[in-house]
Amino acid sequence: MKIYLVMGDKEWVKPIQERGLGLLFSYYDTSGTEKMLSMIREDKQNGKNETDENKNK
Amino acid sequence: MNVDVFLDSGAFSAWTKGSEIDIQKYIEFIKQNQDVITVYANLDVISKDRFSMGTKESAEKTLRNQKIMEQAGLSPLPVFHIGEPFEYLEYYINHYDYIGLGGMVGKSKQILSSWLDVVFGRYICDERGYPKVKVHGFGLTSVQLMVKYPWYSVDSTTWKKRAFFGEVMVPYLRQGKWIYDEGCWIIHVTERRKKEKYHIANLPSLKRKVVLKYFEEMGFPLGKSRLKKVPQSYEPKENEQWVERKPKDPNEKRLLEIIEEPGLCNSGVLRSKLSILFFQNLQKCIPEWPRPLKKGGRGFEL
Repeated sequence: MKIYLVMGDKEWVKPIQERGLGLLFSYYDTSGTEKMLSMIREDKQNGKNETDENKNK
Repeated sequence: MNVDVFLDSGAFSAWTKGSEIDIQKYIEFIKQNQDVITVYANLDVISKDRFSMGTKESAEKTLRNQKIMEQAGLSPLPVFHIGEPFEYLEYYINHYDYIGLGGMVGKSKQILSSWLDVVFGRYICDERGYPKVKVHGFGLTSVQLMVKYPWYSVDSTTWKKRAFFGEVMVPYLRQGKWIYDEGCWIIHVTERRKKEKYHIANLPSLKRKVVLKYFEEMGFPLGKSRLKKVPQSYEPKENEQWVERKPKDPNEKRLLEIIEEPGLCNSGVLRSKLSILFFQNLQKCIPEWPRPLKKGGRGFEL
């Protein structure tokens, strides 16, 4: 069973993610959710770039 | 690292504040962020019933939104609510492989378990007790309900709420092992809640020892604080924090916490971290989907 923890503050994204739990955002809080999704997008992009760099080594 | 992101419409929160969500804007938002969203829910319609129990009308409107979103090229998770006619649940089971059950926030455990017994027992599970579709439980706060029914996924706000109110979740200890999937003790730890029956200071000594052992094994000190009433103009020092809002009367003193040893009793952040660990361990100990519906057992006597 996958457990999603309901999110509100961006500082909790990483600790929850690192523990293998899912993140649940609410569209109703559009501005907060938008910020957090951009942060996740950036992290994902950085992670992808790091993997690409490792591949090229 | 993989990020599993679930987007809920927030229709219930909007409903409690008397506002409505524009479906076209919701669709647009999903399209713009689809690259980072794993699952997104339909924009469900909450019944105007005073107890927010679903009706045929709300079920029909919810289904209509499902179709609107699908026509826009999306694949939202359909949502069926407590109180809605079961024909809608049957429709979702027959047409989708992953569905959501909602409208559970604020309902008692007894009401929910009676409803879920019917939903899973008669509709979702086959004759061997295995679920025919994946099911997400919206706003599920009870560990017993999470464990009893064969959910594919659930979401919970409990981790933050409990930490905010000065509580921590402690698993049971049996033969030296922490048992996460049979419920948990909810223990108050803050100085401010010392009068609560289930405050750590008021527990029988054996139970208190178990709770302290859990904190120690998880690497979280309990900490130590004392409280003091001071004038509102007081400037807290580095090891001090306010534990109540400013009283309306400017002459009334305000409650200050003096942190002698940092720990769970004086840090909401640490309490939240311990909650995350609890849910991580709970997630680990529940067998992979699909698992059969648990019948009887020790589910609800806690």
